[in-house]
Amino acid sequence: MALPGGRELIKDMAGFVQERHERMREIKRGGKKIIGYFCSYTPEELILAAGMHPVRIMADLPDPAGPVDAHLQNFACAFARSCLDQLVRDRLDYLDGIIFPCTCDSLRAVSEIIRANKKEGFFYHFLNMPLRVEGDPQFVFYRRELELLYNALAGFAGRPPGLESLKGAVALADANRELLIRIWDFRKASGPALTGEECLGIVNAAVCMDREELRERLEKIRNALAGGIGDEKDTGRARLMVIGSVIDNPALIRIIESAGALVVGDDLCTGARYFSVPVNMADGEDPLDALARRYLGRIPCPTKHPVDRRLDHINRVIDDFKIQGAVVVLQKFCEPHAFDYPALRDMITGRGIPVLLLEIEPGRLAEGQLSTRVEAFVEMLGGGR
Amino acid sequence: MNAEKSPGRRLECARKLKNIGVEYYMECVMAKQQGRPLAWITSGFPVELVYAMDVIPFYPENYGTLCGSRKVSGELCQMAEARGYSQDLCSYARCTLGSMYENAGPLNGLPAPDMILTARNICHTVIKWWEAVARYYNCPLFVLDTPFVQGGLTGHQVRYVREQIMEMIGFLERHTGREFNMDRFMEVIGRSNQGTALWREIQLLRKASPCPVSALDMFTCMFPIVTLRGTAACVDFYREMRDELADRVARGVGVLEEDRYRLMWDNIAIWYNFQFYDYIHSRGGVFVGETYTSAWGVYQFDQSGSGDLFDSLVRSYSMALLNIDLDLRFGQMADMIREYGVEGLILHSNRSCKTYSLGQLGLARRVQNELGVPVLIIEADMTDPRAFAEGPTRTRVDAFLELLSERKAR
Repeated sequence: MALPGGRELIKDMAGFVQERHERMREIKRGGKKIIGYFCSYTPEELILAAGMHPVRIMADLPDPAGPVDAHLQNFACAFARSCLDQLVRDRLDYLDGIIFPCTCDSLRAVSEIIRANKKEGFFYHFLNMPLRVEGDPQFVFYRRELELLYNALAGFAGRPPGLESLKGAVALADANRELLIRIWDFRKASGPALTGEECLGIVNAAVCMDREELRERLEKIRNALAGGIGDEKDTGRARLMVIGSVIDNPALIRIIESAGALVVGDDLCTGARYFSVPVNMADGEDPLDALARRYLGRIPCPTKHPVDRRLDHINRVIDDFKIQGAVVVLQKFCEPHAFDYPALRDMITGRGIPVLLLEIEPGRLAEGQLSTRVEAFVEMLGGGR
Repeated sequence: MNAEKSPGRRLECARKLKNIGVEYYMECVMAKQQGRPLAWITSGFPVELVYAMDVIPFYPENYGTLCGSRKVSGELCQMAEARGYSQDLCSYARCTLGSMYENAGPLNGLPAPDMILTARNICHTVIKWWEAVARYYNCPLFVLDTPFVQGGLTGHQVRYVREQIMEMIGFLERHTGREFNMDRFMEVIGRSNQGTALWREIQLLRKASPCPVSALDMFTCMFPIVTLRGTAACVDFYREMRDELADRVARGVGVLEEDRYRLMWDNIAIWYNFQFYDYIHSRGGVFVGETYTSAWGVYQFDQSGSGDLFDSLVRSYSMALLNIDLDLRFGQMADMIREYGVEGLILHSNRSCKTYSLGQLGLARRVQNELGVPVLIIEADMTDPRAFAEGPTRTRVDAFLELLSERKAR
C-alpha cells in the first residue's frame, strides 16, 4: 500500500534543485550566511557547525560563453567554466563565501581566479586537502588543515562554534548520509521503486537544502519506500551503473533511462562518493580527528591517491546492485577521470560487463546522438523495455 | 636545425648537447643490462636523492620533448588515443603511453622502470599518468604530495613534505637494496647547487643588449638542468655555456645584431615547431627570458652543515613555479620583466598543460595593466602539432610586433 505523497516527495527534490537559487535567497533572508563549495571533499559539517548554510555549486545550463572567457580557456572542463561563469556574472549573489578543497588542476585554477577577483568581505578558503589519502603524515596534515578551516569559519561567523555544535553538525550530516544509503539500498531490488533520475534529484537537493529539512524529507522518502510506493518501475529493464564525476544535468540520466534501461547504482561525486561513508564518531573522539578520518577514508575520487578503494566500491556496486552494464560519463577535458578510464573499462569488461563511454559537455548534450548510442548499448544488453 | 639558415645566432656549446643526450638515453636503455636500477621521475622531483642512490632517472616529460622535436609526437599520441586515452589529455603523457603500449617512438620503446617516482608540485597530471604507468609495468610507485602554496609555506606543510621525503628515502632503500649515504647525497647536492647557480648566471647574462641567447637555445640547453641536475656533466656543460655567453656579452655579440623587441615567453616550448621561434627572430624579436627555463634556477639547497638541508629541499621543491599561487607567479614575472627590460610578453596557452595555462589570462591582464607591457596570447600545444595553427599565429605575431614598434616610436 503506497503512502500518499511518496512519489510527490521524490519529485519535489528535483524541483528544489531547479529552484535552488531562489531557495538559497530565502535561506539568506532568514538570516543565515551561505557558503558555497566545490566538490564532495568539502567538510560540510564545519560550515553547519559555524551556523552557516552549505550549498554545493553546480554547473548551470546552458554552457556559458562570454565573461568567463576572459578568465578561463575553453580547454578547462565545462563544469569549471560554468561554475566560474556563474560567479563572475554574480548569479550566485546569495553566497557569502566559498570553499575549495584541493582536487584537480582545473578547479585549483578556478579557485585562484576567484581569490584574485573576490569582493571585499567575501569569505574564501582553499582547503589544502592532501592528494594522498593514506598514512599518518597525511592525517596529521589534513587534521591541521581542517582546524584552519574551522578557525577561519569561526572568524567569519564572529564566534567559535564550540564542541557541541560541531558534534551536532557531525550527527546531522551522518543522519542524512545514513538515510541516503538506505534510500540507495532500495535500488538493489529487482524492479526498484526509484529511477536513477529521481535519485540524482534527491542527492542534488541534498547538497542544497537546509539539512534539518533534508533529514525530515529523507525520512519520509525512506518510509514511503519501505511502505512500498508501488513497484512502478517495471522489471526486465537493463540494470546500469553510472560512473563519473559530477552530474548536475538530470537530462543525461533521463536519456539513458528513456532508452529502456534503469540506472540503479553509481560511482559519482553527486552520488555514492558523496555520502556512502559516514563519520561514525566514536564516544570521546575529537570531532576534527573524526572528520579527518572520514574524509581521507571515504571512497576516493580520481584526484586522490591511491584509487584502489574506488575500484573496490565499483566492484561492490556491480555485485550488490546486480549491474548488467556500466556507463562511464566523462566530462570533456576532465583529466583525472580520463586517465583512469582505460583501466576502469578493462576492469569492468573483464568481469563480463559491457561499458559505454559517453564523453559529454554538460551544457551541450547532443541528445539525439547520445540517445542513439545508449539505445544501441541497451539493445546489446538485451534489457530494453 | 641548421645554424647557418637560422635567422638568429646559435650557441656553439649547444652542439655538445647531442652527445650528452645520446649518452644519457643510452644509459637509460642499457640500465637493465648493466644491472643498474632505473626510475621514471618527473621534472619537479628531487632528483638529487635519486642520483645519490645511484638510480638512473628517466624523464618521460623530456622524452615527450624528444618525440616533439623528432616530429613523431602526433602519431604516438594517436596510439595512446587508440587505447582509450582522451585526445584532451597531456600530450607528453600520450607520447609516453603510446610508446609504452606499442613499443614505438624514437627509442623504439621505453626502458622499463624498476620503480617510478612522481610529485604533485608540477601538476596533478603526473600523478594520474604515473598511476597508469605503474599499472602497466606493475612496479612500485612513490607519490610525493606537495600541497599548494598560497602566500607562503606553512610549518605543517614543510613537516608534511619532509616526512614524505624521509619515507621516500626508505622506499628507495627498499627497492634498491642499498643504504642511503649522506656523504654521497651531499656530493650530489653540491653539484646540483653548482649547476643551478650556473643556470641562474646564464639567465642573468641575458640582461645584456643585444641578448646573447634566445628561447630556442635556452629550450635546447635546459636538458642538463632538468635531467642531469646533480651530476658533473651538468656543471661542466653550464660552465662552458656561461663562458660562451659571457664572451658574447663582452664582445657585444647577440642572437641578433640588435634587440628590436625584447620579449618574454610564458609556458612550455612548442617543441615540434622551432621554426616559429626563428620566425620571431627574423622579425627582430628576441626572448630575453622564459618563465619555463628560469623555473629550474630557483633550487637552492643548504649545504652549510649548520642549516637544515632537508628543509631547504622541501622549500625549494614546494615553491616550484606551478605549485604557487597566481600572485607569487605574477611577482616572479614582474621581477623578470623589470630586470630584463622586457617590452612584450608572449603567453603560450598550452592545451596540454592546464596547471601552467589556466590562470594565464588574469596574469596577462595584470602584466598589461600594472606594468604597461603588451601581451600576446597564442594557442598551441607543447607536443601535439594538431593543436597549433601556425599561419594565423604568425599573423598575430606580426601584428603584435607592429604594436611594439609603434610604442617604441612614440
